[in-house]
Amino acid sequence: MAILHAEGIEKRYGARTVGPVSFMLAAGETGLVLGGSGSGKSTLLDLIHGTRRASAGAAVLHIGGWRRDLFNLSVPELVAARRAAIGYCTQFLPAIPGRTGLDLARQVAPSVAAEAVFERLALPPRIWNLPASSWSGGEKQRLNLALAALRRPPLLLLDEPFAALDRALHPVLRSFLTDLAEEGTALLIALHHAEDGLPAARTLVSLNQPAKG
Amino acid sequence: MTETFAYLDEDSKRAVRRTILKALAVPGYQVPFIAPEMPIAYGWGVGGMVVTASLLGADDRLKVTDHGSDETVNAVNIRAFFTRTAGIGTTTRTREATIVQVRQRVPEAELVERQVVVYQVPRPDPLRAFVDSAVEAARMHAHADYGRVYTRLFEEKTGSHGAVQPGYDYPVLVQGRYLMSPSPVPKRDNVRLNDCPAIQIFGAARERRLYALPPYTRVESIAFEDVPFDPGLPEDGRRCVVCGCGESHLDHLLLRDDGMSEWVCSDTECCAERADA
Amino acid sequence: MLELPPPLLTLDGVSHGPRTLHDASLSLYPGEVLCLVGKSGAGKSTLLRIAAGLLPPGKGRALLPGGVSLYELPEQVLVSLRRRRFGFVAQDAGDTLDMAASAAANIAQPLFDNGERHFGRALAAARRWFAALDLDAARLGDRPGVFSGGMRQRLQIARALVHGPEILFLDEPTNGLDTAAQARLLTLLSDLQRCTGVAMLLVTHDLRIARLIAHRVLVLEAGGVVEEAPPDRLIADPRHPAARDLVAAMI
Repeated sequence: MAILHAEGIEKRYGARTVGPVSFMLAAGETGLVLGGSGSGKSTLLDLIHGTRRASAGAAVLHIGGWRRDLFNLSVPELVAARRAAIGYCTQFLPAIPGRTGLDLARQVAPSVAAEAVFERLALPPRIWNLPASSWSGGEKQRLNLALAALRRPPLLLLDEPFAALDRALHPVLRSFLTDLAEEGTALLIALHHAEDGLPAARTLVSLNQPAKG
Repeated sequence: MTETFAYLDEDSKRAVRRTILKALAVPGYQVPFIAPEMPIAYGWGVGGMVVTASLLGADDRLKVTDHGSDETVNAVNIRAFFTRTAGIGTTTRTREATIVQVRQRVPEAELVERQVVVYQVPRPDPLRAFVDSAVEAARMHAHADYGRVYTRLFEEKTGSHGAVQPGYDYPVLVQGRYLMSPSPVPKRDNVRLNDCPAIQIFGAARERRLYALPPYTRVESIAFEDVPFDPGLPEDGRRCVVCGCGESHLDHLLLRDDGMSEWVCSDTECCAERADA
Repeated sequence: MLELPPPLLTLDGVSHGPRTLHDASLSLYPGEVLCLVGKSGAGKSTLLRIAAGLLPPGKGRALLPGGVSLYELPEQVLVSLRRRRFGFVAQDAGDTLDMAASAAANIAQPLFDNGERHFGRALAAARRWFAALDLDAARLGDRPGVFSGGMRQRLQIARALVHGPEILFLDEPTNGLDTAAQARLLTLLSDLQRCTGVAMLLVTHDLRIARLIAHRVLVLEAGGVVEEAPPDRLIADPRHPAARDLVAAMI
């Protein structure tokens, strides 16, 4: 059964348009949103997460007996749905200056042992208790992913998760994501190149036409 | 112009007695009270004198003490005033007195049901020590909102500035309801207010308040559940140079040339009894 | 879990003064950090004070769970409810702290106001909250006047949380602090929020602060709520001109 049903999602700003886009994503499935720079991949994830408002369409999230269009939720409902069901790994680390990586993890998910997740992402223990702002780009990227995944959200949105990562670390990330998917998480990944994706991934959306203007 | 009995006119006395009845009906509550004029200045014991004047009858016997002593100028003058204006008898023996007007001490002698103790009070509201606004203090009394009193107590035990609670005028809680000033009596006297068979009336003319304790009222000194009230008894083995008593409240008499202090009982009646025995 | 619990507090069409606030509404949900942002004079602090039970609105109601209308309660009930269930952190520490009392007494006072009469328990709580706010135990006996601005704000927060309130109200708590002290205070606040589960209603003119700790943001402009959004959406996709101004002011 589909956990996320996107129906004619569209974002218009000025002369530019992203979409309309429609797809279904099931639990445990990995879906790809492909496209070049400026094609609107991040925008599409932002729309589903509610970081931006869609101009048209619907994104129906279906979890257990709960079935609602994310675009029609009140802000408190959206915040509750995000906290309970949606993880979003952007390319930006949302951190209070000075917080260590482990602090951030505890804040996001107090009851989860973050250390195990950090280890699986090959984050060296010596940096765990350093301010996250001092971590390298690749380390921040994996921390972002850890923070998004810690609470085991049924739906995980990932924006270019490989972008800041060393090639040598790609297998680590791939196996981490594969494990998540096998445990039932639905993954929606925005990517430049399909070959970076996971073996079981299915391309849902291709935003290949470069943005105009 | 002829003076009326006990100086005050009957209408004024009736007004004061009405205030007293109201105060007795709500133990510990400060009843607003405009004292009639007396031939002394506010702040010199008008509150006590007005209460005494309103209560005195021809058969009463009055005892007056100041700091426990029957012989201070104040005590002597007040006795003389009522002897002259009311023609009543006075006494220095508590058990013979029907009305005992005091200042700064609770009588040490046993009090009984037929008696009234009248206290002169300079500062009737314990909250005013740390609440600037009279309106706010009134609200706190009305709501029994006494948290700040305990904060103050807490502050004294924990603050590094060593705000020391004076050893007198230590607030009490009446029947678990109203916070009340015992008047500037030593802390140790607080226990004598509790469950007292006599009526106790507190008059504060300058501050325009009157409050009272009916017989056998529960009066507890403010304290934490886990830190009992400390009556502040001296522990230096001091004794009265007249009667030798070490348990009663002693006043400092003089500092001898050898650097030692001499002490004397503040309650002259009890001291004299002990000395005679 | 995806369903919203009932709000802890709802303001229903409140107005105040001729211009300060008009017809502003909000709901605060359990465990959330809700930020009120807006320029000076937008009505943020007035709305906060109304929500905190400190200022009766001219029109409208403040509702608690069960439909209890805050300002229709007898004063005594309102005061005791405020003391039990709310904590308030003011922009100026002098508004809530007793500068003549020790830090320990300042923290312990809400306990005594709520009926605590046990010295040992109150002292232990004061110590615990002193430590929780990163304050030096050796200074428990000091008066707030000798503390730094950041320490005074932390002292206020300790005092506002010591009795275990459901809602913590904060009026520009980081104002006047340097960047490092601001970050430290925000870190502490977000930690405390997580540990205690207390809901926070926080007023700030600085969207950066809202971005760091808010779950939800309300934008106020000229006495009305003009936009509601999660902080990421407000920053990425502001709709109202006032919201756009605030986003522009971040950079």
